Amino acid sequence: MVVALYLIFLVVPTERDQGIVQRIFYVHVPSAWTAFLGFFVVCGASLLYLWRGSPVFDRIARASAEVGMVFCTLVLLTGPLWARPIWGAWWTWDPRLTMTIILWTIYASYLLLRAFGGGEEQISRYAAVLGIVGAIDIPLIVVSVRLWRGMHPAVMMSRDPQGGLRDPSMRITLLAAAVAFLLVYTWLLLVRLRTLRVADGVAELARERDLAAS
Amino acid sequence: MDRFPYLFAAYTVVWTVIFLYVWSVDRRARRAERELDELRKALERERR
Repeated sequence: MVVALYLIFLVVPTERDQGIVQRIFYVHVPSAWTAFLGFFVVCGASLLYLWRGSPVFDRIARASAEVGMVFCTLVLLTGPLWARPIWGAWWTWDPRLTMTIILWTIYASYLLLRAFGGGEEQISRYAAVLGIVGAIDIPLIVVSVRLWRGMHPAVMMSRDPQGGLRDPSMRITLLAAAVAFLLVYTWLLLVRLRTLRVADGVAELARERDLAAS
Repeated sequence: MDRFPYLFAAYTVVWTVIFLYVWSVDRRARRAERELDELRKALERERR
């Protein structure tokens, strides 16, 4: 993260048209990639949970959904801070922005289901289905700029020779920031998994105690 | 430099959100470990 911040503020050149505010890209884009990764992990772990029924996969899906939501929230908060000076508006109902807010809403529903649905196996299965269905939105977000010609810039998939990141140091900085965000995601996921394991241990002991009492 | 506040706000938001999440996970971890200890002690007392 220190290397990424060094590159962002001391090495990479200031973009000619957008100026200093273009540096928001180096946290906005990696946040989006990390959120997508987090939700793909939810999808994969949910599939494995439905197939194998192991609570380990259920815990991985739950932890990854939570961490993915943190990064998806960062995307939705940093995006308007870039859009206001560049587009002159905090928000527009551009296809990519709309699909991203739909993604956020799907996984917010997932977490609400996990938080208030109780700890039953049936709730875990419902959540797994929601986690798998939600990930379908991600490829749509990726192709939405080309498919529906929205105004959101295509950073990595631009066909315009003048578009995207032209300076090699910009690409290296974006890559360094992406690696830093990936490491933060991994750390948060492991910390959250440990907490969920302890919480499941508490629930198991409480069940044992209730059984012994009855 | 008139756009600097937007840049400053974006990076402040990133660090604040990550910090708040780490704080929330830490709080939940401590609570879960405390509950686990209390339950273990209660079970030991009941077994005796």
